[in-house]
Formats: sequence, structure tokens, C-alpha cells
Amino acid sequence: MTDVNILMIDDRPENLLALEAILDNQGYNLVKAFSGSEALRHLLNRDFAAILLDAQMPGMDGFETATLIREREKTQHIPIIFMTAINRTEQHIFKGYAVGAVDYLFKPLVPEILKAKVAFFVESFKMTQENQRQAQEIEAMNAALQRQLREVQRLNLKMESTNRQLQESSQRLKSALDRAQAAERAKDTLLSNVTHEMRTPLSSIIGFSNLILQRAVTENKNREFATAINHEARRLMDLVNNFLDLQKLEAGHHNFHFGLVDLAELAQDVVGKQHLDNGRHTIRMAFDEVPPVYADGERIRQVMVNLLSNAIKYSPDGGEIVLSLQHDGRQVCFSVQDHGVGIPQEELGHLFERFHRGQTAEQLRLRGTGLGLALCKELIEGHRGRIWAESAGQQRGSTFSFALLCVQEGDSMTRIGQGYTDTDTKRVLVVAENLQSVTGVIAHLELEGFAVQSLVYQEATPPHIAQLAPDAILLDVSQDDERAGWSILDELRRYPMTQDIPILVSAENTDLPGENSIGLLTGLAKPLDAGLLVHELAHVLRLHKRRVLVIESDDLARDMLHIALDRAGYEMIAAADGQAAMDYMREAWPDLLIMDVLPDVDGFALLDWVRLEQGNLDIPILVWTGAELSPLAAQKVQARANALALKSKTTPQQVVDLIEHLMAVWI
Amino acid sequence: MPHILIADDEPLQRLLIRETLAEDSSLTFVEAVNGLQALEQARAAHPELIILDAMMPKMDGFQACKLIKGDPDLQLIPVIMVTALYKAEDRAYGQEVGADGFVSKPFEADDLIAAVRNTLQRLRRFGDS
Repeated sequence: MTDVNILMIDDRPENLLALEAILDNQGYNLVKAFSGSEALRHLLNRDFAAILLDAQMPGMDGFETATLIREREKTQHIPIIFMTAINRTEQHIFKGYAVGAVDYLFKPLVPEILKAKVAFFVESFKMTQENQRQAQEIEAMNAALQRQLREVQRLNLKMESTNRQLQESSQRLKSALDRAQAAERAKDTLLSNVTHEMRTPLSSIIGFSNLILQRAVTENKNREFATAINHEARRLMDLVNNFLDLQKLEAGHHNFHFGLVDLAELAQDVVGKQHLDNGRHTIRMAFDEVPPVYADGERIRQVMVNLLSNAIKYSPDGGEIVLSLQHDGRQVCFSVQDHGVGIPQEELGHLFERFHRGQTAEQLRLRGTGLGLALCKELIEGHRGRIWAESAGQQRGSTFSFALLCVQEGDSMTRIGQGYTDTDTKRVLVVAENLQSVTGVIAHLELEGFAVQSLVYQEATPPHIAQLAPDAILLDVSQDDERAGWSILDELRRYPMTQDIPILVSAENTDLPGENSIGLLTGLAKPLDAGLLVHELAHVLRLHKRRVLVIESDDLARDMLHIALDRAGYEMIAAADGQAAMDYMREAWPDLLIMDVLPDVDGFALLDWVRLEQGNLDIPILVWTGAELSPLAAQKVQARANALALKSKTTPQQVVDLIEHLMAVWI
Repeated sequence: MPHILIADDEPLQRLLIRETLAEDSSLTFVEAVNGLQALEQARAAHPELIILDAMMPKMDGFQACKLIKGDPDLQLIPVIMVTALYKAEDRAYGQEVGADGFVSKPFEADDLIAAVRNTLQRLRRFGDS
């Protein structure tokens, strides 16, 4: 059986037999038809290389049959050879050509001519077939090339984005490394300083005790040496304690126990316990009535003790030491003023540095640890207060002061702008290092109908914010003072009255510190996009529900998700297939996309469409599928989506938990 | 009568050095609280030996030693550095600036006494010859 079919049509069996005899053994598959209609039936079923058609047949004659063959698209190109015994007139021949004959053969047939003509048409049929096959092949190759090209383009885009991510992470890694190295250097310097500072008192302790033990010294000398040993041992102890305290503070372990503190009461207590070893000093307390501060009383006591003992130490000739308390309605200021050796102007700026050696110290019999004032500074700044020193110069005495924000019952609102009014809804508190940097954002929020109050870092203590009771906080982490910004976040999270207020953090550095309290902490990359901010605020304030687009062809799965999403406060948009989802996404973006393997379009193609063609790299995508994924397919999903969950292992409720998590992490 | 200059910003350290060396009652002392003052005292008092602390305000011991050893009037006065710096490179730096001896804090009384005695003896032999 060959694939070259020849259709022979004649009403007379003997004619067909004659044709068969001539064309037999030529490698053709000969199909016989006794009428035009039988021929048409054959033509419906298979392809023919040529048709031999008898012109004169009863019923449907050759011309009619040819006309019908020519009318059918599928058969119109099959060459038709008319065979006729009569009608040798030209007119008759023209009629044949007019209905589509390509050739004429006249009976009686000459076998050689018949064979040659059929062979010619078969050859041309074969060539056409070959051409078509080649064309199809080329087309297929073309399509394959196109596919490969698209894949290469996609990979390119993917690589570009991976590249960008790599560059960003390497940048981040480098700056982390720089920070670590700087910290390491600082630690080295510190250790070498501490070692040095420890050796000096140790030298005294060992040296003087040796003198006592090895030499016969007078009772007076004995006492003098023992006093020196005692003094130096205490200094060593202070050094160790201060050093450990400082280390803890700098590592961020404040462990402050905040409460309302009456500074006047605290100061009186400190003075009462201060040991005045000679009668040369008098202490006077000039206290205004001041409101309480929100602070760790023990730590503030530590600072007061330090400042007071410094005042005594550095006024060796005695004199009056004045402690004062004042307030300006916003801050309470505590000062210790002595009439001692004073501080040269150029030294004022360095007093609070660790191991700074004051010029004045060298003239005195006593030396400190070099860490006392550095510790005071850390402690006061840990309360977001200020500490400073003033002196008119050497021998003119000095004044050390610190200021802490005060708490005032009832009228505290007047200190922080006007506060919110009772009718305000959508209360947003903006906290920034300086308010100029956020005026644009504040104006935008006010236009959007939010009631906005703002605080600078120093004012943004947890109790103040608790009193304001905003519905949400926008914390702008300043590049200049990142540490202060993050520590506000930390404090707000620890203070019971503020820990449940949603906070939006706008920062350069996109790593949120500590554990994310899901839903309460949202990161916004700088520069701040006002539209995105309003959107996020609206969400945390539950002004509109977050939209989740679910592409799921299975009704049951869709309904179950709908129930779970609804309960968690999300709005679900259902799309039964990829096309519907794409139609939706051309108009609006959902906040999150959940999809299964799709019935109509390739899921990967949809993912690429979202990520690459629509350029939306940020939208979290969760693939929740019942399909068995090959490891390769799973890998491909994970390269494009944010999470992959299997229906067999993840309930709709777990899917909701997962998306809560996806929403909470940094976009 | 051997005259010794002690320069240290720590009063207790000066006291300790003085008392440690006081066994030899023939010694007398003059004191300075920083490198600058040590230089002034050296010029004014022409001591037989100078003991310098390394870490002092205004001018440290290394700098003072360098200036003493660079001063034709003072360069023959031996200098011993007594310091809480303990690293080999600090000691090497001490040698570089011309110190004749180096004693680490905390020191043993005998070590300081020996260093002072040896230095003074070397000086005497030099003077005798």
C-alpha cells in the first residue's frame, strides 16, 4: 500500500479494468468509482494525487463531477484528467478545461501516454507534499526558536533582577561588614584603654601593699598606703562596673524600669546619702516645683550621684555646691553647680567621651575611671534626654546639667501640638527626627482626611504617645540618626500602652529589627511613596479590606478560601481562569494573588506576565495547588512566586495564615 | 646627692615610685604631672635620672623623652619609662625615642630599684672613667 492514491471514475467496469491493467505495478493505490457520487464519497475520505474521470456517465456526468470537486476547497487542487471517446470537438474540450480539467485523454487510451501523464501528476503531487512538509517543519522550527527566544528574554530579565538583588545584598553585606569592622576597631581601642586604665590602679594596689608587707614603715605611712590601696581598689571596682554598664547600654540592653519619678525627692535622697569626707563643702538645694518625669529612677540616681561626687572631687577647696531643679513646661532640668577648678573651654566638648583625661584632673589628688561621664551620657540619652556641661573657665567652677521630658497630668496635650480632638477619626502620629523632612507627607495625609499630629524623636516617648493615643504611627527612621529611630520603635513595642498601635516604619535600611508582630509593623522603603503610605494606613486602620485575587477553577476550593479570607478581613476577588485574572489585573492590582495550575493558560506564563510584562515584582503571589509538581516545576514556581503550598497539605485557614505572613514581611 | 625627676599624671603613682625608691635615703625627688612640665623641670633642676610615665596629658612620655634626648644640655640624663603600656611595640618605641630603661606597671619594687640603681651605676662608671 502506497500513499499515492489515484481515483478512477467510469460507469463501465470494463473501462476501469482496462485502466487498472495499464496502471498496475506502478506503485499506485488505485481506487475505483462507478459514478460521480461514489467518487465524491472517496474524495471525502482520502487524498488523491490525480483523478481519471470519464466524461460521459449516466446521472452525474464527468463535467458535473469535476465542478463539484473543484468547488470543495480540500479537493480543488487535485489534477483531473478527462477521458472521453466521443466529443472530440474543441468545444467539448473547452468545457472540460472550464470546469477544471488539467488534461484530456482520448479513448482508446494509449497506455504509454496514460502512464506518463499519471506519473507526471503523481510526481508533482509528491513534490507539493514534500514542500508542505518542509514548510511545516520550518514553521515548527520557527515556533521553537520563538519559544527559545522568549525563554532567553525571560531569563535575561530574571537575571537582571537577580543581579540587581545580588548587587543590593552585596551592598548591604558590605555596609554590614563596614559596621562590624568599625565596631571591632572600637572594641579594640576600648579594650586597650580599659587594660591600660586597670593597670594603673593595680600598680598602686600591688606597689603599696608590697611596701606595707616588705618594709618596716611608720604607722602614718602604713595608713597612707592603706588609704591609697583602698582608694585604688574602689576605683578599679568603679571602672569594672561602669565598663560593664556601658557595654550593656551600647549593646542596646537598656533594661530600664520606667516609672513616674519625682526628681526633687530623688535628689534629696542622693544628697542625704552622699558622704562628705570633710566639712569644706556645703550643699544647697534650689528646687522649683517640677512635674514628674517618666524614667528609670535608679539610673537617674546613678547619674545624680556621679555628678555630685564629681562636683565635690573637682572643688578641692570646698565651697558651696548648688543643686537646682527647673522646668519649662516641657522638660525638667537638673543641675549641679560647683565653685571648683572649672573646665577650659576647649575641653567642654570632650568631657563625655570615654577615657577623656581632663587637664584639671592632673592637678588633683584624685582621678576617676574615665568612664563616669560617658556612662551618664548613655543613661540620659537612653531616656532621650540631654546632658551637658558649662564652665566659665579654669578656677571658675562648673555646672553639669541634664534635662528630661516631663509628664504633666491633664494638660500634656498642649505640649504636643493641639492633640487630637474628640471627633477626630483616622488619627495618625508622624514621628521624625526633624519635622521639616516630613511636611510633605503630613500635608498629603491631611488632604486624604487623616488627623495628623507630629513629634520629633526627643518628644516621642512611649508615655506621650500613649496619651495621644493615635490609631497608627508613621515612624520615619532618619538616616542621620538611625539608632534613635529604631530605639523608639523598640520602646514603643515594649511599653504596654503603645505596643498594640500599628506602626509603619519608613526607612532606608529595609531589615526590620526583632520579631515582627504580624500586622502591627509595616515597612515602607524610602523614598516614601505617599500613595502607598495612604494605602497601607488605610489597611492598618481597616478602612478598606485588602483585596486578594484568587484564580481557582475548582468551585469548592474557591468557596472554602472565600470563607477563610472573609473571616480574616480580606476581600476576595474570584477568577475562574487565567484569562479572567489577566482581564482584572489590566484594570486594577490586588494586594495579593493566589493561584492554582490554570485550566486555560500556562501558569508560568501568567506568573511571568505579572512579574515581567506588567513589571509587578512586589505583589505577593501564593501558588496553592492540587497538582503533582515535578521537582523542576516546583523549582520554577518558587522562582516566580513568594510561596508554594499544596492543597493536600495546607488548609484554607493555613493559606490565610500564610498570606498574613506574606503581607507582614517587607514588600 | 642623686636627684630624680618623676613625671606621672597620677599623684598616687608618683607617691608609689617615690616611696619605693625612698629606701635609698640619699635620693631626692622633683615631680612633674605631664611631659611639658617634665621638660621644664629637667632644664631647671638638672636631675641625675628621669622617670617618665608614657601616657600623660599635654605631652606624653615618649615625646618628652625624644625632646630630652635631642637636647644637647639634657641628652646625657638617663631616662627610665615606667608605664602601663605593656606591648612589645611600646617598649620598642621607648627605645626608639632614646629611653635607657623600660619598667611596666604594675611593677615589682625590686625591678624599679634595680633599674634605677643600674642606670645610676652606669652613669657613675661613665663619669669616673
